[in-house]
Amino acid sequence: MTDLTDDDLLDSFTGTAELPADENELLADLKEEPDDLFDEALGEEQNGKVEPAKPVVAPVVKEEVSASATRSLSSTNGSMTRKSERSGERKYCCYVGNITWWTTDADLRQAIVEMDLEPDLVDMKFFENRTNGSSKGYALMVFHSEDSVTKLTEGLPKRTIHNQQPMVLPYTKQSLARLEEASMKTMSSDGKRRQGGEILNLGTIRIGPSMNQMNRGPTMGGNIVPTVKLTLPTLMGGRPPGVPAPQPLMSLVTGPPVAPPPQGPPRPLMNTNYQQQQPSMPQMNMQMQPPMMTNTAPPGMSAPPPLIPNMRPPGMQVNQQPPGMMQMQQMPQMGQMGQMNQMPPMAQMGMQNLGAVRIGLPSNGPPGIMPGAHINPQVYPGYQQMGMQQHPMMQRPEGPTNDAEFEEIMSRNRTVSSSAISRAVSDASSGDIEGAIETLLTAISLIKSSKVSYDDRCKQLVTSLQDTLAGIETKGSSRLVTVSAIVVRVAAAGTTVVIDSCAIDCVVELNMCRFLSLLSPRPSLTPLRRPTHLSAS
Amino acid sequence: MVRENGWPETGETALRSSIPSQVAELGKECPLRRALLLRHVGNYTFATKDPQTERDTSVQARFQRMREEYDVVGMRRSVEAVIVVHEHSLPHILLLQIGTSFYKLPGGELEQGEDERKGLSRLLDEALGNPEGDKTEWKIEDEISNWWRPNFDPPRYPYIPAHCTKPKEQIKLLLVQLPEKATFSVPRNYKLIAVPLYELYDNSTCYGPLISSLPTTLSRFNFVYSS
Repeated sequence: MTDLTDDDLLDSFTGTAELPADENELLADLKEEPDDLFDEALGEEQNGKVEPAKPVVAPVVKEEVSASATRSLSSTNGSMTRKSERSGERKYCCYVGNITWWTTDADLRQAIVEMDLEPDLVDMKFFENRTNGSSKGYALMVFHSEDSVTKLTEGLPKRTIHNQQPMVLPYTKQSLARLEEASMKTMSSDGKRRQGGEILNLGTIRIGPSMNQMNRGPTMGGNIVPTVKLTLPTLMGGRPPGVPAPQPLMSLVTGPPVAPPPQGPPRPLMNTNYQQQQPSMPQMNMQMQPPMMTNTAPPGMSAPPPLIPNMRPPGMQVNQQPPGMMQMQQMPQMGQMGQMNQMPPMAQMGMQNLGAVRIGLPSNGPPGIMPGAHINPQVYPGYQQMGMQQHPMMQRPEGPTNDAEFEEIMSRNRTVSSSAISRAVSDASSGDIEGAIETLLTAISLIKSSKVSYDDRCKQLVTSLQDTLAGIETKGSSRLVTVSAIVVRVAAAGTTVVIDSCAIDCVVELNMCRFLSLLSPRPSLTPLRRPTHLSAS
Repeated sequence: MVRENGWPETGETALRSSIPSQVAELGKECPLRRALLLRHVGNYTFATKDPQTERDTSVQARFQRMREEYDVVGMRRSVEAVIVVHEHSLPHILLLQIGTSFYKLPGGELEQGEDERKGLSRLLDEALGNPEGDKTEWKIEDEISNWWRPNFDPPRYPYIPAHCTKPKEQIKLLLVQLPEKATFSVPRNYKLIAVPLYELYDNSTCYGPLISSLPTTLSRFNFVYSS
């Protein structure tokens, strides 16, 4: 447990505050009159658009503690009162997390009173989102004695506050990081809202910078792959073509969904549609169904969370309620958008986008709409929503996070491409052009939709697949030349190329032995080292 | 713990009303619409007077004094005046400009127990009143908005955040109507400017959330542009 002296905590308020001082310096040269108060006041206005500084807590060194306490206190809830000042007093702190955003200071105080720890309580500070003042779902508790902290750690998690079990964490950097992370997931909607920069308003269309989601995840390789697109009109009347979308959706956890799922009245409608078209869909929807039987059902607040408790960290609840409330009216509109997305989350919807959705890539919407435009999907129904596309593809909210995964995905892509090419080549040579084309298309889409699709190696794989495709499509003997040339290129790219016997026959036909022998040092073409072996097959 | 329709049981609310310091007169009739007479900005003349200094010399001092007073009297109550004139068929709001880029509404802190309207009149006299000469009649009839400061920190919000039961300051914005003609004496360290609504709209970076949201809150009034 960290020891903080009284002076450490109070220092932040009397003279050593870092944040305000910096602002003063920043603004000093902007002002004609060096009036500190108004410099700071201006700074306070500008601060509104600055995300709260992440408090850095180093629980060991005294000076560091005071500096870090400064940062955390000035960016959060600095409600230290003079009463607590007693010279030489030592303070003991801990974090209380997993509390709902509507858990008040009175609630925590009540719990503490019931545990007979109230006389020992010095202060409590809630960590808030600077943009809108709402609680991040955790608070710092300061006591006079370490004993109280211990008792709190043991006793508080046994209680429930607003149907949630609070968590008591020690006053360390890791605890803070954990709590921040939990709240970050719910803050994504805030981030979306406050992304500054140029935002133009054209009537109801707000054209602004792209969303967090777009920036966080990898791009879709440039183009929207037709086979996995989930267009709005098809949701209601048709099935999404190609790739089996529902499966990936089932595994979604804390992705940054943009559209909320349909709630209440639209849901029964959607359900029946899906039953006709996608047998797997109702499975998903059924999870949501029970709590939302009637029109008056709460759109997935505290009651439904028991159904999906594992899918969200408790901090998620922060945003569940308010968007839910607001979206009751927007349901019919959102229903269309949200079908493929099962996240109860209204969580991620964000307070801003009521009935209108932030659009990601400008695939096939109305011309001139930039990424991040605030567009009503009912007005532009052809418009694709970024989040929806990302969901079936991405199993995680972030991009490839580490090398091991990256390599794994890369090698998987390589395998996909090589097997696709070989299969396509053999199909083509046996006359099944369509099958070959389909194989190649599927492979292209799979690679493009993978998380490493932006990488050059993947782009090469895709290019070679596309060339193979082009080669197959053009009929005639030149086709075989093209195919073999492609094989050469692909092999050169380091891809393992499996050439089966039919393809080899064709190659032999065109007297391509020389090419093969050139390639033979490569392990992938070992079987072809001896031409005599070829003629035998 | 759960009601029959699925909503959880919540028990007592943390606060009784959204403006806890006020008595809520439910069911009191209020007109659907409100029309106000606006004067043209040319009706008014401006003089200067001695500089008006702030009570606090620095940010630290400001919040320190806020803390000390909170312990004694409780939540601080501030009032600010929204004075509206018109020009070019557009309402303009009078702001005090300090330096090149800081703007504030005239107003300040109320004394303990002071009535809001009387207090604002006093504060307006201090800010814009003529030291020798006619006393301007300030007509205060409308409360426009309330903002709260949940902690001893700069941020203010137009609501009390859900987790906060004890905000540290409440700022009330009141609409002030002017007499037909008047002279304002502006302290030398301020500039009094009339800012059109379009300049404030969505311009939180320049004016802060309080002032930049005024066009929206004032849109409920039907301002009559008198010539």
